[in-house]
Amino acid sequence: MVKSVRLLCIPIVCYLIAGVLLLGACDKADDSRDSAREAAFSLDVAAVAERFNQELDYRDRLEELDPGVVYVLLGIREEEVRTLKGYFSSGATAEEIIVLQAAEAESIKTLRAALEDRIAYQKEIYASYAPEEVRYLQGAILLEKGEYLIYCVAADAEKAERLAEQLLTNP
Amino acid sequence: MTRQGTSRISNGFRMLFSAFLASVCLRSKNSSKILCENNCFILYNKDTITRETGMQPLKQKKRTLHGFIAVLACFVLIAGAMINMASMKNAVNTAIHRVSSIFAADDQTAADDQTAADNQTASAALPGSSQEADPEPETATTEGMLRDSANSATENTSEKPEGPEDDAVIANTGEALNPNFTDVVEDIGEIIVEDTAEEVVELVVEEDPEELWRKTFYPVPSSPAVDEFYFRDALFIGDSRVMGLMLYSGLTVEATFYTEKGVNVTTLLTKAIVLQTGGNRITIPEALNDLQFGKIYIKTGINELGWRSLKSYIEAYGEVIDRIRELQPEAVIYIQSILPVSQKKAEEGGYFTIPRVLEFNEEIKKMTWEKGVYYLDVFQGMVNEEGFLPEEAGNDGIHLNKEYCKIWLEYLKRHVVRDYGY
Repeated sequence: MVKSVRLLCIPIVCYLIAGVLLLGACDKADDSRDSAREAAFSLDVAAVAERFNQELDYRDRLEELDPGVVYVLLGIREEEVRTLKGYFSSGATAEEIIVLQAAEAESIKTLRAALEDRIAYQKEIYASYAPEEVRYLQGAILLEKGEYLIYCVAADAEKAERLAEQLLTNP
Repeated sequence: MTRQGTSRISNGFRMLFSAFLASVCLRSKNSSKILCENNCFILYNKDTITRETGMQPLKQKKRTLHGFIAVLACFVLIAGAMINMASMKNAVNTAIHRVSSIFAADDQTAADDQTAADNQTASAALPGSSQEADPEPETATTEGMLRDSANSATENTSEKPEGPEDDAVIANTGEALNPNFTDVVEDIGEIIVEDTAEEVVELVVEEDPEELWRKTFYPVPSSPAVDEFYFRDALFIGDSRVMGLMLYSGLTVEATFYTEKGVNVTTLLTKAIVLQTGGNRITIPEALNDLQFGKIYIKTGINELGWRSLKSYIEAYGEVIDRIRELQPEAVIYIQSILPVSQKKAEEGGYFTIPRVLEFNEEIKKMTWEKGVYYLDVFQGMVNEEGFLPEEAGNDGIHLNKEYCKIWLEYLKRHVVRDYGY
């Protein structure tokens, strides 16, 4: 009996080891496939920003800004950005749109941090300046895919998020 | 003069005299014969001359030419004499005019004192009211400013006369010139201007220099437009409206902006609003420690219209100016007036009304005079005929859109202070 159990254990252990190895390989294959997919992902920055400006409702008329102005507003270096398009309010509201492509993969973290800092700073400013704008800032969307970032503060946050996800899934 | 030249002159006179004789002899029946015997120069009846005198055709041609020259010289002499007579007439008229102006100077001095007193009363009006609406840009030189100021003082409440009477005003006689001299005035206009300049200088000396400075530069008058390059050493400090100028004027490449929404005169220099590359924020004084600017434009006020005490606002504003000047002693400081609000915004009630804005601007203007900085009346540059910010200038009646930020920038380009030695 003991001998038969030992004989059974050997193949079971082998199967377990093989299973673990196979699962690990699959994960790595998935990761590499995802990276390849993201690397192949391409977004028309200007067109996306334009769609955000046209398809969403805003309480103020948003005007396109020179990218140099946006670099100053965000405190980022021009070398970190490959392409960028932004639309900003005249100051009457907190509404704005920024869509950008990082110059390289390492820059995306810096750029995302800059946009997160902007959202936090805008909340601080508007808390005393125009408190009614804070709720719109709380609904700000900031989505990232590959080298691309989409940032938008709009009146309808849910609609903005759906549009962003749609564009990032099917550009 | 050389001996050859002298002989030529004498020949010339001889020709003239001969030409005169020729002109007389032409009427005589025997002209051709008399002329031939006297060996005169004559053009016609060439064949007769040739036959009776035996002169060669070449000599005849020379004498024909000489005759032409002689006749022409007569006409030239006569014309010159006529011109000289006209010049003599002008000189006589000038002398008469100068003598009459001396006697009239005493009467004009009394009239000028009265007009200067009237102008001081007029200058106490609201800002911008004594300035022409969008005057023709002119080079704001010292002489130009002094002359314009003096002319505005002499014109006073009476309308400027048109046509030749303009020269009467410039000549400062206090009354129009005799119409008989109007045609002469145009010819000697330059002389009149010189006389006027001397009299203008005398007028300036009599007027209070500080009062003249105030009339000339408060607010900063219109000047030839500069381009964006002028703002390469400019710093703009202010509230959300100035932030709009940063976003939409296109000046971000040339100029520097330290602006933020919601700042007022008490938080402008204490709040960390200057964003450095990398995300760190510092205050304006900290930022100014490392940089030097040529000109600084400061604008606040829209967030302070609701303050109970206008005096507190002005005092705090003055402290901001003092601190900025301490940090940037070489910079020219411009204080911009508060921009207007739209009619729709004003009718909402509250503090955003035109009378409130004007009340604040009047105190700002006085404060800039006391602080020795320049006052830019951008209010006048943006207001419409009804006295409001145009509705199409912005969505909320306060913040300017891209188009009107560019109009604001154009105003700034056309109102700069150049170095006049002050």
